[in-house]
Amino acid sequence: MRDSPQFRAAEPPAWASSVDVWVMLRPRAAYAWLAASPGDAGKWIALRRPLSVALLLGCMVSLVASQRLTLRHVAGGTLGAFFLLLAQIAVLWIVCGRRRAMPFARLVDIFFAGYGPWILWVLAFSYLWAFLPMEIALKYFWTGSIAVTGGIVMAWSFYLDYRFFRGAMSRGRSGAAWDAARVWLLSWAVCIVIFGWSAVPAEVARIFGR
Amino acid sequence: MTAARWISLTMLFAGLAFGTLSDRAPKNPVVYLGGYRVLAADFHIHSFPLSWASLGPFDTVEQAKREGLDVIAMTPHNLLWVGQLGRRYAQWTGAPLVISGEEIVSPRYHLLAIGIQRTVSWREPVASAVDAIHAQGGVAIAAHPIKAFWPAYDAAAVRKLDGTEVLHPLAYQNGPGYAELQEFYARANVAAIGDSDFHGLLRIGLCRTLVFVREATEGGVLEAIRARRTVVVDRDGNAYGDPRLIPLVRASPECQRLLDSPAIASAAAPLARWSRILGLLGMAGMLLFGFAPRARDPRQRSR
Repeated sequence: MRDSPQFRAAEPPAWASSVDVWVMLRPRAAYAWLAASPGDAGKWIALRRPLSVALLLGCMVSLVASQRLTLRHVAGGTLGAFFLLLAQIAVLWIVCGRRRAMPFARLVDIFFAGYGPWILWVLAFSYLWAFLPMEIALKYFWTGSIAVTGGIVMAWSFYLDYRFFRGAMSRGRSGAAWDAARVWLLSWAVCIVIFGWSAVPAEVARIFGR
Repeated sequence: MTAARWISLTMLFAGLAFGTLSDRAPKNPVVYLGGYRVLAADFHIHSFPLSWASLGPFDTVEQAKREGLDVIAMTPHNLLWVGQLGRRYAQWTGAPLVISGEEIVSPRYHLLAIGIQRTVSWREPVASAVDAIHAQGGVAIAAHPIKAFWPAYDAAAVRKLDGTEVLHPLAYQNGPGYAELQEFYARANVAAIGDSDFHGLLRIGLCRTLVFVREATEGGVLEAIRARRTVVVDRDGNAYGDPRLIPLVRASPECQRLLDSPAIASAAAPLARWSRILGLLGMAGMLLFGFAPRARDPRQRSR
């Protein structure tokens, strides 16, 4: 009933100031509407949201490292984040395969509309680390807070990805969960390789007690 | 594009312009004390990629300059090349002095190898790893030796160490970390080292070491560590290191300047403050008002 054509035709509500906010709070309706929407044409739309997300990540890098936005930090952070997001686009291409009902560029654009929880998290930590004295930030907003809030954001984000595969890729429940899990596993594997590979063998040895 | 999105982007780029304008590297004071040149140092810094850090090696060097550091050691996890890139960049741009090194991340301990040319295997026990570092002319510093790492440091290994981190960001967190670092330092009787273990989130030089060198070169810094001519002071004024040098540091206003990061004062300046405010408002606006124009209503197709 909820996935019926009538439900798909639901208009964006007045409170949703953007598609990204709508996806964050009502992903089922938002993805259904986005999938039915003709959207913008052209391959460039595959890059507009990833570039925006990379820019915001670059801004976070700058704010936490120097408590201001500087060209060198933002450019470096954006570049690093963009490579990571390009890898995620490649993962999406692998997972979605040929079973796509819309152009891949459009699919990427819709997928990255689900980055809202991460952006919210980036904003919150940028604010804390940019404005609070370092000792206070360290005492109250370090590993524990990062792990707890990061866990919540991961769960929220995974649910959005599941809804993406349900709404935009028309997968069944188990298929959508499996596809979301594959995107996550592959994306995090790439992230770990790029960001922290050099200590991974030693960490693995520690975990397995060697 | 809606007006709200334009305003958000304008704020973001205004914040970027203000922040870039306020981003100036200060000139460090040249301080001599007790017949030595005093250098502000941070020997535990990570860079992107591969070591869980967000700033690239060139950017790390630039940021260290702005934090008022004379010497840094770039210590990627179990590899060297990222630090060597930073060192080349610093040689090209002139400052600060960058020593290439490695944080040996083993399942049982973490050890800084500073001033080496080849990686040291993380599979070695501490004592063998220290021998391998010394064979290359480098110095070995126990990295954040909290209680969990103590079993790896037997008496023979501790005797071979050149230094230990007695001050680390752990000192400013809740928990027993700081007390454990102090206890290990008391047992080791080696050079006192203060390091920030920078990964991108904290400030480079948040914890730092004053090194008393005969000459401001890589060799001079390594010699000073071996000779234990270092002083570390925490935010509460507790000092560690060479007991002859600590009173000199306490009495010297110039040394106090080396202990403080000029970037903190710089971040409080109006341009930097407006950069933060406008930048964060712009970022929030981008999320709130969307990264992209709203998709068209599907019913437009039938019209």
